[in-house]
Amino acid sequence: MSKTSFDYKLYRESFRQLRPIGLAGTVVLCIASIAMPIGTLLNSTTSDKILVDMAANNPLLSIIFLLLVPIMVLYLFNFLNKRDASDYYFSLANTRTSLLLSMYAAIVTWILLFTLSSIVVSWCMMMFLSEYMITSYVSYLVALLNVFGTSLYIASAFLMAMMLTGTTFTNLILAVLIIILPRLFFLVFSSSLRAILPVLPSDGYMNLLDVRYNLAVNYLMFNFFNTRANDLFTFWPGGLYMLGLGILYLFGCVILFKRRKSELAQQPAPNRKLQAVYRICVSMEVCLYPCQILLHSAQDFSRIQSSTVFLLATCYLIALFVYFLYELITTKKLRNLVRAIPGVAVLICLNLAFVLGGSLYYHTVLHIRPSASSIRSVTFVQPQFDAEVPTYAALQIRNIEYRDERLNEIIASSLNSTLEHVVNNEWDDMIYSEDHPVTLEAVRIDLGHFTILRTVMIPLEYKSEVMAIMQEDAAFQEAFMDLPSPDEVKVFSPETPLSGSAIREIYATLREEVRTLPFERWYSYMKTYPLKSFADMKNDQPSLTTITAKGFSGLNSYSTSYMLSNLTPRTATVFMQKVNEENLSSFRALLNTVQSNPSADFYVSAYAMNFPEAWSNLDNYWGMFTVTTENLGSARADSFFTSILQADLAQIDSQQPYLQLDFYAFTAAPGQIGNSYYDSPRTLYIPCPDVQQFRKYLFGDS
Amino acid sequence: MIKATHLTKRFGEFTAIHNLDCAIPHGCIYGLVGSNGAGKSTFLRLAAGVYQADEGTLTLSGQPVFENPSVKSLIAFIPDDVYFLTNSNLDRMAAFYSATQPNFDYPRYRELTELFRLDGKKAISTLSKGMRRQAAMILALASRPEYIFMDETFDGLDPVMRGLIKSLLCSDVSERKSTAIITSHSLRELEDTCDQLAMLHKGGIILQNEVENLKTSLYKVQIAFSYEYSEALFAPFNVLHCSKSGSVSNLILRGDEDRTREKLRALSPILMEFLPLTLEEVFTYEMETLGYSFHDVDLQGGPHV
Repeated sequence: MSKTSFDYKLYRESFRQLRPIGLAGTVVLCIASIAMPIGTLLNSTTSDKILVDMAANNPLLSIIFLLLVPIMVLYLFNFLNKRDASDYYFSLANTRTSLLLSMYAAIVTWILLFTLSSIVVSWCMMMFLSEYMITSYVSYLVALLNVFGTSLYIASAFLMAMMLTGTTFTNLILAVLIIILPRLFFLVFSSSLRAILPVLPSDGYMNLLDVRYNLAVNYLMFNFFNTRANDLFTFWPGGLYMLGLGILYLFGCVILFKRRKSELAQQPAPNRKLQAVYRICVSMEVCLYPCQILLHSAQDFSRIQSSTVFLLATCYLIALFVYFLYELITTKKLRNLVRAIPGVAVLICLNLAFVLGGSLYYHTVLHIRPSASSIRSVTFVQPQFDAEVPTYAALQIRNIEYRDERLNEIIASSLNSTLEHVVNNEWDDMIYSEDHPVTLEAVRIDLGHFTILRTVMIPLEYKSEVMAIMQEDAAFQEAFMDLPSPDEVKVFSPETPLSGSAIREIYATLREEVRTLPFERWYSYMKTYPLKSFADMKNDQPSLTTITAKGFSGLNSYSTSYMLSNLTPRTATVFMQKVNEENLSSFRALLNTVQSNPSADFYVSAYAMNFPEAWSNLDNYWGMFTVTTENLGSARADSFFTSILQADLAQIDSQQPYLQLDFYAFTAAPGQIGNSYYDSPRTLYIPCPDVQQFRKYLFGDS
Repeated sequence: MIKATHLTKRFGEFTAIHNLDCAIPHGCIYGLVGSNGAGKSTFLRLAAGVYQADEGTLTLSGQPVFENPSVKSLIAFIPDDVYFLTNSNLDRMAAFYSATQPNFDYPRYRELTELFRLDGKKAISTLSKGMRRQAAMILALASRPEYIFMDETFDGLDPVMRGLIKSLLCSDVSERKSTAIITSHSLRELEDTCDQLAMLHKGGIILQNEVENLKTSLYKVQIAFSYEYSEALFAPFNVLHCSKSGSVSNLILRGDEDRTREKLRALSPILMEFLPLTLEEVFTYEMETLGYSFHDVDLQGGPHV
């Protein structure tokens, strides 16, 4: 390429200059990619496969944009802060555009190397440890996009700061301001709006202005406020936004670089106009707190008290003090304080814009009260920043659009009354009201030409009605009735130890059997975490065991526990059969050990289950006893264990009477008594076709 | 040719170059003298494409310099404060130059390194000021430039090195028809190297001429008469300066030396001696003619831009 837009040799030289930083960063990231999964594995307390996500596996990816990128930009473009270096680089046989883009490309190359090497190593580690860990490989691509886009954004922001200032200190300050100030402003603005409009949900209603889209600021805030830990690795729209913003900033840098003057080196600010911009930005951040107060007060002047006025006056005095102090510190000239006075007018205008803009938004929101007929669909928005892993069904129902006239009526009237409560300042009273209990739900209401997000107070009296409407929705039912296939599930965590193949077979049976159940029956049996305000947690069947299925639905992980019971008898039977198959040999071995070793013993406890009504008193726990060589010799024990060994355990049926035997092997540690222990219990399910058989088992009756 | 037309450059409220016109022919070694803050470095940076002029134009072979890679690739610029990459040595800088200067000549670089007896592997940070200048000179000359601009280059060099650099420069100019601009605040430094000299004062060129012309344009005459006389005796001559002490007068004259000699002899002096002027003295008297006091143009002091 010609030297007007890109110079390959200069790019190569710049890449070479960054080599020490690049190599150090790559090594650190690769070591972290190797160490993190090993650490996770070593710290794991379960013998099951571990489901890991990118955030757990590669937390250090964030140092690319938090540390490595700023260092690279400050290092490579440091010539802008030195007069001699600046003169030299500007004398090179390149256009300004070519100079900038060639050097910037070197940084971008290293960013790619960091990200790719870390992700590839992590990928390889996961493949190597696939027997112990599993992850969503699609999330790697999202992580690649997000980290790369965020890094590009940070690079461009730092570069822009270096275009405008001439010392490393001011580079850093301005870069931080460029990155954080806009988002901080909108964050304060949105939180101020939520304070006066609690009907606004916690996030999502400001679209691209939502802090979530700025992955860098979002990530920093996560570390302080524990918001969305995984957005960096899962929220791909944020990655695209960062990429776009980074490229946009780069265009700005090109324009600024063309105008950059060599003599700006070692100067804090290029001209008075920019100095004024810095001054106003810093002071405006101080003004945000009184702006919030003003915005709140502007909606109801009756709330303004003398203490409020005093507080406002104090805050604004502080802001003015900061305003002039900044000028004094940076320019060290008293006469500049007089010159800075006109800038106060700009500050006042910004404050007014904040308050007036917020007020306008407030009134607009209050006036948007759609009628039921104007609502096209309603979606119940799930909380975005909950730390608990959602269930499979919860993930599926997140984006269901409900189209029901009655639901529209409920939502429309609820929204209307909610807004009235806001106007009357009754929000807190209504939330905690015992006379008119309500439930808060975040809903997305599609009005056709636009969509609104609101937190709506729905009276509890409508709860069952709303639930019924939701449950009638085919997509809703599908979410619960269509369990993920055994191949889609990445990890099974059974409560009862069983082989992997056995678990898969049991789960496959469960999946088929669930489809045959009435929806209401299965739904009421399952926990539904995100909708727990509506869920009827009905568990009227004793649980045989629990199988937890974990996996990924898209980029999100899920974990669902399925309790096996007589609700799914076929599955329960298959479970029992598998248990018998795998435990019978252990039982025989224990018996043989006790028979041959006078000092050996093991524990047995017995439960009788499913006896018919006439003998329901037999459904009970029949005690726990130690099996030793001595009592094995008794007729009763002999009859008991002989019967068990002779029983056709394959005939076990969860619907028929059976005896559940839990046996505990004893492991004796020689020397210290405290080191001896009983193993986790294993189970046998013994079919008891009739009472006689039962009596024969337990009492040795013939 | 390097041509500046109504060239003006400001830094905020300070005007460093004001309405400057000059034409430097190809294959010329052009010396630019002036006090600190006169605009010498600014002019060189404008010529090297580091600065963009606020008004006027500066062209090399008819083409503007700023943002013109094809022209800038023909230029080697050695500023007063030379720059090297952090933690680099001369060989590393040569690699960098070879990447950024299209005509960089490695054999020439090695040849010059040997000539100057510099170790290419030694860290530049360990070199003295003079050796750094030598290193900068090596890199510049190895770039085979058509235009070489040197800002206070001889500062910090010992006489031997100065002589070496001057000879290399002259050799390059004569062999390759390069054009060089050298700035200094010392006329003596430039006298025996440059073809043309210009004096810069407060952003403008106040005096400009070929060195040979400057040297032969003026001469000093020490003359004495046995009779009483006044300065009016010298009225027919082109006198720039006259000082009389008793019967002896010191005259600075302009004009044809032989004819002046004849005319003065006709006045029957008892003593008449023609003495050559130093370049500094020539500049002094020329500037007085133009209304400047040379002492106002303190070449050693003044503000620096």
